[in-house]
Amino acid sequence: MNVYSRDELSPLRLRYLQVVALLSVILGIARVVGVLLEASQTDAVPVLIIGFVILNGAWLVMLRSRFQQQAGYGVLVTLTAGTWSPRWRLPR
Amino acid sequence: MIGVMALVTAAIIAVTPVYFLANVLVIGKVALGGIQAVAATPGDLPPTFITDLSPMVILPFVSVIFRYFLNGGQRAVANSRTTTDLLQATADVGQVVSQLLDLDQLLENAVDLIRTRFRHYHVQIFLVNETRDQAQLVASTGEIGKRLLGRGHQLAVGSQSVVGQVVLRGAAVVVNDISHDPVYYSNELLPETRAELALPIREGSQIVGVLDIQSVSGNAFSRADVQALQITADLLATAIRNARLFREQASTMQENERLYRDSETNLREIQRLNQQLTRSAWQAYQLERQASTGVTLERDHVVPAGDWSEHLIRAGEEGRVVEADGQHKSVAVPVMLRGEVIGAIEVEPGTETRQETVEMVQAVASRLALSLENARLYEATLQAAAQEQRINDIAARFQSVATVDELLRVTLAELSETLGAQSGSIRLGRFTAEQGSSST
Repeated sequence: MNVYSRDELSPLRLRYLQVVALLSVILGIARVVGVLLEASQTDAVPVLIIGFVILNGAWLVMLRSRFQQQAGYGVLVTLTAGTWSPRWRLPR
Repeated sequence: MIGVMALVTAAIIAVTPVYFLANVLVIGKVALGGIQAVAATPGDLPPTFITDLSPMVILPFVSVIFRYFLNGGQRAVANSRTTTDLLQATADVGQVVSQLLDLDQLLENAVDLIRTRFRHYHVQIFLVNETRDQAQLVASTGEIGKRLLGRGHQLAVGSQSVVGQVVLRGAAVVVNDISHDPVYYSNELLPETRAELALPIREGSQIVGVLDIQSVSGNAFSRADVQALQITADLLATAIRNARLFREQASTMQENERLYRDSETNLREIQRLNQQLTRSAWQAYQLERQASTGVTLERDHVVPAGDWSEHLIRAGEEGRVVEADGQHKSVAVPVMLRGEVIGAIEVEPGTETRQETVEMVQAVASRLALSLENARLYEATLQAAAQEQRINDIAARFQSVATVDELLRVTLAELSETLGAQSGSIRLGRFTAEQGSSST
């Protein structure tokens, strides 16, 4: 089943993606702030997190255009890649 | 957190391969973390082992649950859309067929519309004949339909065919796989049929026909399809009944018009015969009277007269009011009975105006005509009664006579007296040649 077919659930799906992308941006920014406050962190981690924030911001913008399907997969790929980020977890 | 969001997103938007790939990547990462933790503490499990392992259970569970409910929701939405489409198609067909009152046009349009709107291979309509033993094809789609109609295709009620069984059972028959159904009757002109649905067209409790739909796909008819098409068949039944009633009404109206024309013709004939009867009756009356039938006012005296003035003649001949403007201003009005002129009245206006005179004389002439007719009929009745009386008197004399000769003599004498005849004779028996030769 093509779950991205245009149907009555499409508006809900779009709304979910917008919320997820926005939440990712917020989490990313929080992480950047946390990293910047920790003196022991290297410079490489903020770059990855900033990239994560920028990508999710881009998907958030794309979700308002006609490329919603591509933006949705972009969000999925970004999140999946984010799970593999070595220093993704927020500081305890 | 990010892992949960990734899996939920995959469950919501991704096609199945991508969904599984995302699951493997995310859960694999969690598992890899657990393995690394175990490897870092050889000989003993790390204290956070259970905590680190729990996402491996929770994440797949969340992912599967989301995917399951999402698929269910999508199926429900798809079913809802299908049902809406079917109802829309039904409404469209109903709207069109309800506007058609010609039965042939209705059936022809209905099959084409059902085929187009419901997207099926072949649609046809059978109607049960008067003897209720055959279902005759009356409408069919496409060139194949024309050929079937051309050869007068029909199926016996109760036969081993879908249509025959529908008429017999009075319920819909669905054959979603024709190769495994004994009821299916294969038509060589429709080789692509893989599924067939036949629905009864009901008029009250009686099956008047069958709506037959064929599809090139197996299992083409779901429960929703059957329900929607049954509604269509019911709408079709109403439209057929309306068309038949309209046809009967039109036929009755034509018959009424014919009867009306016939009655008008008969009425005209009756009027003509009445006119003819009135004319001949009054002609006979005037001949019988053998005297002048008219009066004239002379010096305040009404005297019998038989001469006709020029205006009286014109009024009588032309059947209209004649107004003279010469030295003697007069108005001549015909006396008409049942459209036939039986006389005329002429008067010279006195103090009344010309118009008032005409109106009054016309009204009097109209009443006079009726009164004259009554008087004539009364006279005729009196004459008939007098004649009957004379016949009865003669017959009464017969009672006092005993012999045949005497009876003949009395009869001839009474007739001579009654009729004023100078001579007469009566013979008995039949004339023969011997009697003829003896008389000479």
